[in-house]
Amino acid sequence: MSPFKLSFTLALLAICPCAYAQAQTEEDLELPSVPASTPEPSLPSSATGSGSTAPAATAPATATVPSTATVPSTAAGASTRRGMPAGTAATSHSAPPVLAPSKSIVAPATSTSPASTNTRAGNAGTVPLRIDSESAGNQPTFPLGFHIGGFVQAQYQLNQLSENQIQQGGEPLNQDEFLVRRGRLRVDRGWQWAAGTLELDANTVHGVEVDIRRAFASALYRGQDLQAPHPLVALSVGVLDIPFGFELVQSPTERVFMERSPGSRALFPSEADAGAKLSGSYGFARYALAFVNGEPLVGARAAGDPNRSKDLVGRFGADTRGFTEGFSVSGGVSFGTGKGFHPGQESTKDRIQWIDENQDGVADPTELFGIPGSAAFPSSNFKRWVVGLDAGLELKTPVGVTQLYGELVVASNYDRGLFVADPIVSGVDIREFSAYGAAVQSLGDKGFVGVRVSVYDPNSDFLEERRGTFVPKNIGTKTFSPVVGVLLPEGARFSVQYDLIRDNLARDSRGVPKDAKNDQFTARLEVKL
Amino acid sequence: MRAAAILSLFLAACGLVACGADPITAGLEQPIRIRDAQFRTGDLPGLTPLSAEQTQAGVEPTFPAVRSASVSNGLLNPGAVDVSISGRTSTDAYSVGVRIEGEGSGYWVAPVSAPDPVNQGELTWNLSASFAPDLKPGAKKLLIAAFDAQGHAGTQTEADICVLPPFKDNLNACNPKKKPPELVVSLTWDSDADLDLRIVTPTGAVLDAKHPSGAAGKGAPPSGGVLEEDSGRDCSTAGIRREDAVWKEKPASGRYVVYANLFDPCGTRAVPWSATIRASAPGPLPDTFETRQVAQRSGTLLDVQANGGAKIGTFVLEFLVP
Repeated sequence: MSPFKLSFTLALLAICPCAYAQAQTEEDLELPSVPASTPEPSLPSSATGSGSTAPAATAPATATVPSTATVPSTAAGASTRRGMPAGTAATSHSAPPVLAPSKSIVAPATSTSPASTNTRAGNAGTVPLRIDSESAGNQPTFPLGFHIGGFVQAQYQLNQLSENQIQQGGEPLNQDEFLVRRGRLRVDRGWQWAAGTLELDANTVHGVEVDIRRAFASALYRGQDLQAPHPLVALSVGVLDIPFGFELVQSPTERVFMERSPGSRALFPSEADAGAKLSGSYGFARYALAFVNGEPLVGARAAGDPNRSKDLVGRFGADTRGFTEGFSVSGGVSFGTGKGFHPGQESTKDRIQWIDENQDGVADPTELFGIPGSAAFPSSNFKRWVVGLDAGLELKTPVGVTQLYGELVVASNYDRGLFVADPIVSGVDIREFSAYGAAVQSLGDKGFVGVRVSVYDPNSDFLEERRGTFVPKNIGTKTFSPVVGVLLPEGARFSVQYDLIRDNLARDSRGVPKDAKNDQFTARLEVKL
Repeated sequence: MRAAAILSLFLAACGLVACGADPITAGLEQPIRIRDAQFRTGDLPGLTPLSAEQTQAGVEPTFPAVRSASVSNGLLNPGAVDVSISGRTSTDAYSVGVRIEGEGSGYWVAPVSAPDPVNQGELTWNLSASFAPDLKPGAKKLLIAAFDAQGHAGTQTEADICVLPPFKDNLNACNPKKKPPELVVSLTWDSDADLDLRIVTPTGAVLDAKHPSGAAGKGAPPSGGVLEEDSGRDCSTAGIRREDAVWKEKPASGRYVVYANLFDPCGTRAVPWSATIRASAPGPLPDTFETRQVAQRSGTLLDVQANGGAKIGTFVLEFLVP
């Protein structure tokens, strides 16, 4: 089947909400999945075994490791089974090499070499797509040794909402612009029992901003297999990923779509929050449970946690990657509960207000109003919750890797990014609904195509008055996002995406809501550092 | 080659499916803006308003009809906000559309509201309008049409409004038979800086923000001119950014010197300004008047020229009153 026909077939398939989950993909950066000096396994460009064989791995001098590590040339058995005894993993998977539990494996001298800190560079051509299982689901969440890396995503975007004007407050209405969407720099240091991560993000989305994307310290229990991608138990404290669903913890470099789905961005304006998280895996089971402030860190707007209550967020799931050959299924159930904050009002003094009612520019006595001062209004909290289901399927096909995945989320008072929910103001709880399905197909080592259909309803009970009658108004949006990408040498990636947005933000001549012109086109170039 | 073909096909498909939606805009380039309404490009649909003769002859408008329309205040300062435009429509209306006749590139649509039990259940509508600060002063007509369930418009209705100039002109802009001020000296600028207009009169007195009547001192006679506002005072961001000195009657003979003084740049590095002089003149019709621009200068003041009022300012121009 030609890539042409295949892309059309996938586009049709994507209309059905498909599901996929990639449990525990908590790293935005593609950290080496093998020891620093070991070349990264390459994914075969086809299932017929045309993939390359990695060069012999040089083990740290003090580590107990086979002198060479043969990377599998077929799709089968490319992953390490988490939670399995080291010997078992070693016999069923030839990469990555399994080190014997020893403190001596920590931070070998070779780990600080440039080659070891950027595993993509130099062998990117052998990695057809970053949505494969080797580079995504089995990314080590707490890699041993010292690692530094990053990436830059720069783009040009066009939006039909753009106007050559500024809106109230000074923000430009123009959205047709070049910008650095993400510029990340990350440092990891991992030992047997502990790990630390610091990641900074620089972007120009709202002017030049630099902020913390991740900064957490972890205490670990890795179990017998120190090279397993995920520890059995990890307790992390700091600014960390919010463990909810699949999309929220998916790396921007792994995601072929430009951004998360609209519903995910509304419910979770940022992937990061400050808190403490307990996470780990055993076999194909995954778990993560976090107490977080409940105030996602969104650039410079992050202002700390205004209430004492902490949100509890978690996910329990499974991932058969490494346990099944040629395909894998994964999924999970996520939840979040906590208390939102409705800010009070500071006390005010008496003041005079002039309303030029007759528009004569003169302050007539009848146009002067005394506004008495007011005591402070207290702040108050409100309950909020969110529940999500994610599932997915990954297949290895003659042309590459096929992924079908999606999520279903219902929530109450949880919108913190788009139509910010505040039931104290509205007087009733606000129900949100979000869902999406996506299909992604890699085209060998050339590129990929994908499509995502997403739905988000920020208030299922919204009413508006028309002709004296209150009628339900659908303020939800449906977004159809096809994407095409080309994989370039040295790990670079160029992709274009069109977001076709269907909503009810405009009105026809009868005053009835209809679709607004607010589609967006994005062309992005990404390079790993 | 294949990748290029896929990309071309992708973009073409995206372009095709993007049709059919309506633009949403803040309408900042339009002369009138209606809150929570939809802007639509083009002429306002519907038949032209009935003339007074047609109304007297008993000609009925086509439905849906606008039964009444009123503006909370027909005299509008430039940049007027929250002006209420309200009325009633026939019971078959779903929405009303509004535009200023001959101005802008489209019209605004908003749904009608609750029935009015006092007027046979006619549907009420109430719009909150803002007007562009640069809307040309003068008498204008608001055109209003009602739309039915199929989106068809009936006969339009009109409402009169008068857009005033930024200075007091004795309503000359809307009624040419009223005589405007003899002389108006205006200074405008384009940032939130505190710029002051200063005029040295033939007597040597200074007309400025501290001396809005131009009196040379306590008990001294006023100059006849009045400075109408002190814009940008304390770096306020009121958005007016202009000062006008107005002589309702003929100024005293002699030489007048105009200065622009940068009191406080308020954080801006450069403040472009423009000064104009307008004078009263006979209108094109008998017994009518108009205001004509007789001089205009422009320039830029730098933040280093700010002096907190310690200096007279930068020379702009001078004029002689015979």
